[in-house]
Amino acid sequence: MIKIMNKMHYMMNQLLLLGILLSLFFLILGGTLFIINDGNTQLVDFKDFHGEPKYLTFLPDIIGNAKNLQPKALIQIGLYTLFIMQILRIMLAGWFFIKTKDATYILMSLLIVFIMVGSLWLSI
Amino acid sequence: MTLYTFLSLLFFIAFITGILGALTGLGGGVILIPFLVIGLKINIYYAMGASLMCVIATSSGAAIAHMQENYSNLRLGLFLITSAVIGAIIGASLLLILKANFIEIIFGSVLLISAFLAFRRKEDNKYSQKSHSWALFLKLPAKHPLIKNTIYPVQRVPEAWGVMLIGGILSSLLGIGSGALNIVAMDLIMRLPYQVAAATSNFIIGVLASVSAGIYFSRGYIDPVLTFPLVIGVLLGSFLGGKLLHKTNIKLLRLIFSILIITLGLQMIYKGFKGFI
Repeated sequence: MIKIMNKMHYMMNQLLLLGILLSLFFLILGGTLFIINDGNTQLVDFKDFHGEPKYLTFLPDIIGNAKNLQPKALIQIGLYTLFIMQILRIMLAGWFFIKTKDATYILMSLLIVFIMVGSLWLSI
Repeated sequence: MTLYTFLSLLFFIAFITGILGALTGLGGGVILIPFLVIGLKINIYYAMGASLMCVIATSSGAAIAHMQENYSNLRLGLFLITSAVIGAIIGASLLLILKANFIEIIFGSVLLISAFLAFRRKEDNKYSQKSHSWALFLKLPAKHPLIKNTIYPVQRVPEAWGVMLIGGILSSLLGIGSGALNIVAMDLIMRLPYQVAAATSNFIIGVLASVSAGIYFSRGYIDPVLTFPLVIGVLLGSFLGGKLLHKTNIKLLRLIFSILIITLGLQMIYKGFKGFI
């Protein structure tokens, strides 16, 4: 059991590292493209809240725009990566409890993944 | 101000926040949001969205930097997340009802409480106590990470679950990781070893912030232009902060940090009340 536990902790660390690097890649790529294109324009006003337009909140739209190297969409992909990584973190924990046959915690992991995917689902 | 200057400023603020957060253990959110709202006059909803993404990033970054996953108590983390997640849904619903200036007032009050809690930590003979019956049922007690052949007990489980519910509500209502409340639940109430409390808290923060962030995403609170310099800055800052951790006078820093938080808290409350008049 300790062996599986150590393996899981190792995998979690690797997962987080990969997620952070991937996210940073998209953020830096999107950010750089954005600065090159719009860096010298006047400041956008963030004083009043308007809410982001659908093409920056609706996942299929974001993916479509990111494929065309649209800077803001690339940044959103980077942010989504951070988010999905956390779901994988819980799934990995669930895998550990399946391996160790711990029903209470399998259920708990499932419940949490369900809620996380549900909150994400709102934007799909 | 051109966009270029604005982005550099955001990066700089996030970088400093990242360093301070890593050094003091208080999350980035509590300090980042007032800076954005009061300093840069950014709407609190945008500030909250950006802050939450920073919270997820630092939670993951800190876990890698300190290799602290090994200390975290996975069962306890999952158990507390169940209540935090319910809280997050309640908080997100409240967010639809409450006005922005009301949120600013709550935020300011939470800042004042966080500053107070940062000084409450004290070590005592906590391993002589017995575990709560729920803790035994849920198999929460585990091996102490530093003291050999010792199993640490886990006390007052229902109370901690309740505190985490509030933590969840505050997280999605205010866009913070609510790390201060996690520490209250695990350190002061459950009486866990500090390393276990810190690592498990970090795990909870990442997952909890993601639930709130999912909701924020769909409501359009997360602006890419505002968020990308902040996330990159806070990540780099927290890595540097982690490296400086052993070379700094933490007590003095905590004092300065607390004074800063209190000042920001009072300003947020003032700004909130001004909005009503």
